[in-house]
Amino acid sequence: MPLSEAEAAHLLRRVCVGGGSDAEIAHFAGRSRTSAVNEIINDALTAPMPPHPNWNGLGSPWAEETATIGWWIDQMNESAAPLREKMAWFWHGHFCTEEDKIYNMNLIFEQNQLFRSAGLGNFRDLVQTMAIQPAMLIYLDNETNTKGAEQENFARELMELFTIGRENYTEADVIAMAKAWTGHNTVGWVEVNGTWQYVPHYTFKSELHDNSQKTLFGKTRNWNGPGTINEICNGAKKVQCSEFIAAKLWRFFVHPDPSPALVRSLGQRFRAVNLNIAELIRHILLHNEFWAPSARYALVKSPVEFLATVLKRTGVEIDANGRRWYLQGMGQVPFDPPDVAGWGANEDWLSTATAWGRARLLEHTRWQLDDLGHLRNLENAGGNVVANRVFELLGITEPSAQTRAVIRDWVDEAHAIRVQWSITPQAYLLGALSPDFQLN
Amino acid sequence: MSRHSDFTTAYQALCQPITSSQALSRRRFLQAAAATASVAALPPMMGEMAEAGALGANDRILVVVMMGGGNDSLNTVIPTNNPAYQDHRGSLAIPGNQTLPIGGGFGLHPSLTYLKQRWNDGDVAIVHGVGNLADDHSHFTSLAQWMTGSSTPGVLSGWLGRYLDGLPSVMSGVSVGDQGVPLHLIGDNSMAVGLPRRGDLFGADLTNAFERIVYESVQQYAGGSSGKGPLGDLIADVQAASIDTAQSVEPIYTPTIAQDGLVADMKLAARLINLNLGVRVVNVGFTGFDTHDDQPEDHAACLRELDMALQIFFNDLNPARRARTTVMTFSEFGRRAEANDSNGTDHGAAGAMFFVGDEVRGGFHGEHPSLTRLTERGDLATTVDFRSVYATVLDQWLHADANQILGGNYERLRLFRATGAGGVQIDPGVQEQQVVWQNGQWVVVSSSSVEPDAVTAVPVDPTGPPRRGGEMAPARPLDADITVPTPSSDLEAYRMGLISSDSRLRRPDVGRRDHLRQLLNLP
Repeated sequence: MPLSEAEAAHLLRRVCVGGGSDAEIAHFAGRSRTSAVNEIINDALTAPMPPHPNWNGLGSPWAEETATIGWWIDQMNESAAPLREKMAWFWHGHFCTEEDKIYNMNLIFEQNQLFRSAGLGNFRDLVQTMAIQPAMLIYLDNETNTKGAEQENFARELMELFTIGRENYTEADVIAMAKAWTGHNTVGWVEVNGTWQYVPHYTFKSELHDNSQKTLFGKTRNWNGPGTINEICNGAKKVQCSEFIAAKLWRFFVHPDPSPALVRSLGQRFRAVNLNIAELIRHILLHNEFWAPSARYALVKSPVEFLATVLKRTGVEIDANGRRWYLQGMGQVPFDPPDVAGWGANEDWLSTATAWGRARLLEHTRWQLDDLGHLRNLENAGGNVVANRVFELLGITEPSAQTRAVIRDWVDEAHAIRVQWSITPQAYLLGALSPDFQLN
Repeated sequence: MSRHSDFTTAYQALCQPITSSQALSRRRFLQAAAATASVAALPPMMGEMAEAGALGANDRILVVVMMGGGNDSLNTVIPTNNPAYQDHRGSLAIPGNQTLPIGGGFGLHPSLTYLKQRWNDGDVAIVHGVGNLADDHSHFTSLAQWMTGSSTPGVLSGWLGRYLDGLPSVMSGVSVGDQGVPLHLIGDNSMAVGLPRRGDLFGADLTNAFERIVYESVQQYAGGSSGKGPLGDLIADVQAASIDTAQSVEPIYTPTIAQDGLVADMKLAARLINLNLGVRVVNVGFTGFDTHDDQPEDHAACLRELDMALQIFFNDLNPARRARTTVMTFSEFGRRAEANDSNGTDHGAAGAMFFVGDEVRGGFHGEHPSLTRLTERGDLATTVDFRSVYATVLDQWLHADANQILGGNYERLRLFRATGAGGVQIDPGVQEQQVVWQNGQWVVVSSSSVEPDAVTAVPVDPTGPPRRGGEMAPARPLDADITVPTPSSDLEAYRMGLISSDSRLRRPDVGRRDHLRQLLNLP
């Protein structure tokens, strides 16, 4: 069955951080689900990697971080592989690190590129590489985890947050896991132009590794870090791991409440494709529930999605500093998650505080609309015409009756009190504050 | 944000931005109105907040400061005379002569100079050894217990949220900061308002007609069904709430606050309390206490921030509100007794809580955990159940029904100088006496005699009798004496000015609870 325009828009809202442009929606409308999904996944697997963001002359991790935030949102909206950016965004919220603790954007960006290059590959390989990149070694303190001086931080989160979830390990497993990861540290003091700098990279210090017998998940042996990841992904915890990751991806791409039976079947599928993430995503995007009414508008746009969508649909200009500032007000700054668990979702974004943040972004950018040629010549138009133009501009393909009525009544009121001049900027603001636009 | 970010899996998971029940009442109101009249004929919505209610004569204010990450209590209230402290902490131990001595063999961390000054004034209570039943060292599990006020799985609302459920004003509970409203301020029926750090709020500037009609339109998104399910309705409700509150809270943002972090949030909290919008509970929080490494510098910096924020907060507070305001700190757990080898400490168990305020009964409360008889994992054992602290705060400070809110009867501490309302000082020496309602007033019953004839009546402020242990307190006279008019419709309720006090409606139970259930691994 060919995709309707609304279905194409639904697909694009889920696979592109900033949703679909008119051209993208038109490109996929009329195609089959399979054809559209295959093209999106193929693009994500084959497009060349993006160039490095420009950090020339910035000189501080904070400035580099800000530039990278601005750069990433452009990538999200302009990349030929938007699903790859969406997956990088997902993994950044899953294997979190914070610039504030690592204080080295080179290391953060190295991790960011891993999420692009390996984010749709084999899950076990992704975890193995993520675990020994300096960004994670520093962020969760495994760089100081040594024999006799175990550090549990990474060991605990590897299980609780990254692979299997809280209910699937014991405190004894945490102790054993921490020992298994002893000696997986960083080195890197180098002399540059006469001064010593720390340029960390991963090293395994065998003399600092605990080679004792350890009991992990009920199995006693001389566990070593990478072996524990293999055990989680392909051994004792493979069912829990596959279900944990598949369920999280489902909640990210489809809706927040997959049934237990669905989670089991997604886990089965994930194992059947040998933890190949692209194949799981293909399965999810082609799943009947993805296309069911219950999935449509079942998610709330996160602040990054909200900003990216506004930029993509309207072309309003906001520089990197401004993007960071608005995102801060809405409660979500990339590379600065609240903690290692990443950001919440959906209703977690709905507070008066974040509502004011979203409105602020729109208030400050609304005066660009006329210059950009949007929503012009509406001073004498009726309410329905204005509403339709707003929906076209913002990509609202299925406006609710209430949203239409609110916009129509507002246009009447604007005429009644003779402020028709304000229709161009205000229609944009009012449209983007509609529930229709803020849902994904 | 936190430098040490292992903190809280939990915090964000346990935060939800909010809506106010005001928005829900608006939804009901507009639905009712739409059936009978055109939307254009509705009375103006602005300025409702001004009616939301100032503080009553006997109302008290609680400011909660969350020290996220797990504060190292042992290096905050330092047992300087205990040789086991030095043994456990080695190079992390703070020498006794560097601490700020507070007697009893303890010294405060050197960063806490303001707290020390208030301690000398008798305004600081330190509760030793407070903890919960979480035993997995998970930020999430422990925070969930602290926030829900329950060690029983299955409670998915916050202890202060349940208290706030009983209050009419939309501004009763407020959380300051750009993050969402944390679970402890989310009740069964209602949620606190979240205030951001920056002002110039959308909805606050009523000078331009072209803006006003858009504010009204945004409010009308909450007037009926969004047609997009409960999340769509919630988006609309939250936005309507933001416009409802914008005008009344905007003054707290002037003049601009130069500081950042907790200091800025506490300045905003003080201004909010000074505005007298009926705020009863304010939440602020900061993180950085998850000191797995580099503890000496990081912990000192965090405590200095706390100390400075407290000083500025009390300085900024209107004297008329100051005696009614108590600050309470909490953290999800203390840290392990033994230092780790990264110049830090790992997740532990029990820790100390601070109470600061003019009405606080200064001194030590509870028993300090033994440093030689540790738990199996080497933690300080809990000596005071955190619910005892909550019960005390609910009863003796907020005058609420603690037993009902906490679902059980927990031992009360004596944290406040006056446990009665209306500024009636109750001598600590007679504090064990019970209070009963007799002949239209509260009377104190001597604990040695429960014969009604033998009691001595103690005059109390009739406008607000004290409220103590739940089971012995009859229905509040306030509830019984006021005749509540019964409007025939929401529209009529609005015209009678009742809509804001009739506004604590049950929220749509959207996915959040399911999310929490998943996180808490509940059926």
